[in-house]
Amino acid sequence: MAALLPCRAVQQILSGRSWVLAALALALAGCGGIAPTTYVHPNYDFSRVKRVAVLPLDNLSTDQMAGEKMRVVIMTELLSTGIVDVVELGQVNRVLTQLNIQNIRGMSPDEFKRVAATVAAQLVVIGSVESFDRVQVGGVQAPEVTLTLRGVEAESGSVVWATSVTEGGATVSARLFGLTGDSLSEVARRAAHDAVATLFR
Amino acid sequence: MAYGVEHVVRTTGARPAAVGICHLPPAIRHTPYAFVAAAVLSLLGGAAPCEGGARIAVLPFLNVSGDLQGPAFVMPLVGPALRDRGYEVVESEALDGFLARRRVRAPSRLGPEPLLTLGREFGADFALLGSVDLFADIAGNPQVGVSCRLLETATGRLIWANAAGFTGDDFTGFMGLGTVTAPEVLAARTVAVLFQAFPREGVRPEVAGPLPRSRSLARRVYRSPRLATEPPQRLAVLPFENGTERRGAGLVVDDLMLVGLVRAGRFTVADAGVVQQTLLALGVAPYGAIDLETLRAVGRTAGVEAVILGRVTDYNEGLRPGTSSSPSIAIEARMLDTQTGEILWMGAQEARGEDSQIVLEFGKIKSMVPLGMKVINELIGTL
Repeated sequence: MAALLPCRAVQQILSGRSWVLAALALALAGCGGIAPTTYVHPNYDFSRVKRVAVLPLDNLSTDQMAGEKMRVVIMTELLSTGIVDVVELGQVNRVLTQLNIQNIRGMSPDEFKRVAATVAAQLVVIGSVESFDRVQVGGVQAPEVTLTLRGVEAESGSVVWATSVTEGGATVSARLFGLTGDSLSEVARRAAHDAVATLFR
Repeated sequence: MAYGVEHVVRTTGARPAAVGICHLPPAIRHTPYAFVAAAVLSLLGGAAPCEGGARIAVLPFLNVSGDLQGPAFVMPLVGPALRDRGYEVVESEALDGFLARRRVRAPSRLGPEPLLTLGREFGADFALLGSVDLFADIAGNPQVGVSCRLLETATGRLIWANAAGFTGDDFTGFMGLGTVTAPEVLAARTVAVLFQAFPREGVRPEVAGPLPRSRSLARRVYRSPRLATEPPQRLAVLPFENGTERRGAGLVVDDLMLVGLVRAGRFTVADAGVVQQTLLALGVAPYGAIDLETLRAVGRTAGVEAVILGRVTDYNEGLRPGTSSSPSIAIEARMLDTQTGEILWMGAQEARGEDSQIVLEFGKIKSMVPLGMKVINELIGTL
């Protein structure tokens, strides 16, 4: 069995007495969710981003408030990086009303440019919340959050950053031991944290 | 003038000029010479019994409990609680005519101008405003929750604020004994606790001790470096958006946030009446969010450097059939600079009653008001 494993270090661990620790490490590795899938525009200088506007997110989950809940969590995570300033959501909502933009999903590059210019932001964040719920895993319910974000550049109206993150859900620890770990809000915070982190890596 | 109940200067001449210790200037009222001075003044001016301390007008509490009976159980207990602490009281019934004449629809949000008139008309040094946040006459386990605040009528300054809430189960002891099953008894106990820390006449109100810290919360909070270097001195609480099915949840959180900020004592807080008057004057109704133009106008009119606003995302008192019998609450809040619109602080916190449960029923928070105060104090603690 050990010969099938690609990693030499893992082979050494399994051949020794510490296989229990290795199994535990593998089980715990499943607790953190799936690594974000990310696109970053290769030629865009992200150091130009000083101020970000987070638009209302599409809510595809069963929780009616999930979009707005995640929007606030993303704003907090963006501010917590200490790198960018975030436009107050009331100001963003006002500008969307003033420009008569009702369908965020159908915004044109020109509309993105106008929104960004009005709130003096270099990046406009849009996206969707695919899941924000507790999923049934065996006999227990585990919180799961799936989030997709896109960053639209103010000058060109083109997407310069995109990421998709899933946190929580049917992890190994949930399947094996029934450990569902953190609360839904903590899982949401982790998802937002992981997503925002890809913007600055 | 220093901050405190004992420093109030009476401006009204409506009351008799009787002389007693309570009528001496505040500077000497609590010195060993007070009795001698009072005796001398009594001999000179004719002896008259001391008629009591400063006068407090008790305004009708706002009922956000969803149960019409709530104020009927709570209001009659407020006057005696204040008299026990040495104050004269103008009962809420006596204010009905004044409130009707001035078309005051929300007595718990009285602006500075009507407050001043109230003070002059009734010779009241202070006004007590509040709300019945929770009242449920459930057979065998009633629930009561009240919050209130004391304002100086002359200046509109917030002097003191507190909130208290219990369920009948909170008093259950060994072998299930001690449960309070009568709502009137529970209301009496709640009001007693509410005014436990109310300053006696002539005593300076105390600021709450260090607020509870939550390790998990630190990760969910953004705090601008500006809060350490140039913190706002005066702030206001704008209406919280109610993202729950419980009517009035936003109002309850507004009140509890005000109580938490006053008790923390770090900022000067504009009363809800000032906020209401400002929003009415400007003709705006921010609800959980605000644009820069309105924010600046609010800051200018209310005279505040920052505002706190946000949303209540969960508010379950454990009363709805089919839900957990334990309360749960979740709040998102942020502080905005009224000049620049900059987010100075932003955080979210949630709690369930059983989070603090140690073993069996010990440590469990069964009532929404103390649970809400816990969450709000933890949030304010990160400021």
